[in-house]
Amino acid sequence: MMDADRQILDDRARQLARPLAVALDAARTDVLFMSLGDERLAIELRYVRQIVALPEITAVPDLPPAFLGVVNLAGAILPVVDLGVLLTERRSGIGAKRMVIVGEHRPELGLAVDDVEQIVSEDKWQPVGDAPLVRGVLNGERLLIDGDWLLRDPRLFSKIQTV
Amino acid sequence: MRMTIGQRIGALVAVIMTMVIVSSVLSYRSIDDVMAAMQLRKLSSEIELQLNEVITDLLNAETGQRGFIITAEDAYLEPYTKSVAAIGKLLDGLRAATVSDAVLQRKFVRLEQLVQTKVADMATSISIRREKGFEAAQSAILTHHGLKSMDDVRKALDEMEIHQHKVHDERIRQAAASVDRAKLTMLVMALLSLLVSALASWVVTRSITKPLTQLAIGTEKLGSGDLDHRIEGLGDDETGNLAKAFNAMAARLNGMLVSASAQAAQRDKVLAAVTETALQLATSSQELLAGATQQATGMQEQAAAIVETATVVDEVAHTATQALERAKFVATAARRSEEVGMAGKQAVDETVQAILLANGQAGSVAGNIASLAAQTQAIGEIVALITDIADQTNLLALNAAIEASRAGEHGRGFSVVATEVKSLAEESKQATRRVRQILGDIQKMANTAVLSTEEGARGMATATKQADNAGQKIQQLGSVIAEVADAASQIAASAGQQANGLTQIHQAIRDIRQVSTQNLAATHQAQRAATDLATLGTNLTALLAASRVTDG
Repeated sequence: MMDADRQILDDRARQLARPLAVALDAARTDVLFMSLGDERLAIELRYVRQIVALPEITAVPDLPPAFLGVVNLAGAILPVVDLGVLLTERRSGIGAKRMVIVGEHRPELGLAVDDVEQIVSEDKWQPVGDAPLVRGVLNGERLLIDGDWLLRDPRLFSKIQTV
Repeated sequence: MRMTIGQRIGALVAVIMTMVIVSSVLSYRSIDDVMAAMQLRKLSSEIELQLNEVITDLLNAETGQRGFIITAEDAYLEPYTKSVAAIGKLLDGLRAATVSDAVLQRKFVRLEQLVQTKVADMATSISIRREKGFEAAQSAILTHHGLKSMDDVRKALDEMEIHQHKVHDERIRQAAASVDRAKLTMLVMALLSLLVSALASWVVTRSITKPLTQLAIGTEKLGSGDLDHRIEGLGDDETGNLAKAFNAMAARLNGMLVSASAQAAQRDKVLAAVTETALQLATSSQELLAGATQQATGMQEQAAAIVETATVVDEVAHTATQALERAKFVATAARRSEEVGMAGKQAVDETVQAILLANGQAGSVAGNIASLAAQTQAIGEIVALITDIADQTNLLALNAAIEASRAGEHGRGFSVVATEVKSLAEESKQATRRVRQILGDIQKMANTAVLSTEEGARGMATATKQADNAGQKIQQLGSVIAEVADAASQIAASAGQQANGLTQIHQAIRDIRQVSTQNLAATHQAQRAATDLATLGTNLTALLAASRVTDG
């Protein structure tokens, strides 16, 4: 099978796997507001496991560029991701003080953020174009992170698979 | 090379003579050449003449022969005989004359043969007539032998004559050339002689007149009194000797003049010394007189000064009495000042004490403020701790809210509690922020207070020092015033003594005045003596000057 064909199939699968924007509008959703550099972000609360002060990060060689390293969380090893790299392909800087632990059934990833603001129930999300990681925008400035996509983002896996 | 004048004139004459001799010799030789040319020309003319004679004689001989043949008479034969003899002589002479010319000689030999043949022919025809008769002789002649030989002779003669003409012309040309050459030589020699003689004469004349001119100039200078003039560089000839003699004469004259002037100078020197002495005497006398006059004036001034002094002393005595009274007044005032000074010093001491006390109190206030600042810092630390706790509470509230959300409808009440806890945490954080701000203000104020206290302490130290200083100054003033009081007392005492002393001075001045008057009289006497001495010196100088004028 040709790479181009595979690419087309992958894109199509991604489109199908994406939840509909209509579904977002259907029910009020609890989301967590976060800040990272100049970005105002949010994520559905059902993906959030815990919020902790950012522990000391241990750098690991040969990880994909989105990873800052790993942390020791009560004896468990957890990779830490810089959302800035996934959103804009640039590092966010060194202002991170908090870590939001995300996962569907267990802690899977740590998101390094500057601060965690509040938990709100919000339903005024506007749909966006085809940026895969973003599900919607609030008041034209706050981006809603797609938790499903985040946990399956190929940029966090491809490198590990090849290794 | 220098020659004497005689030698020079001799040489000049020798040169001129040589020129004359050379031109004479050359002229002589030219004339000789001309003479030789003339001689040769003469010889050519003679030969030509002789050749003509030969043909004449031959014709004469032929005439004789013809006569005899026709007549057979011996008388007709006479010209023939004479001519034959003359021809023989002529031929001998020609042989001698043509020896110098080889061509001519050769032609002559041929001519001689032809002539002899002709003569022989004629002799033959004559003998035939004499022996065989007229017919035989006629036939012999008719052979035309005789006629042909005569033609040959003529031809040979013509040839010789032509040659001789050529030689003759050549000779004439040579002679003319010789004459021309001789003329030129003489002209050139004459000019050359004139030139050389003139040049040599000029050189010799100049060599004689030049030193003579020099001698004349030297003599003129000597005559006008320049005895140092000498004539140099004229060599050893007659003028040189004359110059040497002139130089010697000038030297002798100069020596005589120098010794005379030396004597005059010696005398002048002595006279000058005497004059100098007289002048000095006059000057000294005058100075002496001036001194005496000045002294007299001084004496008078002194007398006047003494009188003035007496007056001043009186005034001083009066002033001293006044000073005595004033000194007493000053002593009283000084004593009162001393008392005031003591009081001032005591007041200053009290002030210093008060300042020191205030300083100590300010120090303890500063200490209190400092400890307050330190405690503020401790409070700050506690506040930081509270902030930390509020932060953690905030996190806990968030996590509780997450858990509540996960619990769904059951967690709804818990979620409200968590939100409340979170807002409490926020509030406490706000409160701590405010406390921290207030603490900062307190700390800032404490710092300012400590600083101003320190400044106050420094100011007090300065004030204390200045007060101390003032106390010392007042004390010094007190002691100075005390000294002034003492001094015033002493002045009063001395003023009394001074009054006594002044009375004694007054007496002494009166004595001095008397002595001064006597001195003045003595000085006047000295002045008169000096005047006499000055007159004497002036007279002597005038006398000497007069003697010098008559002498000079």
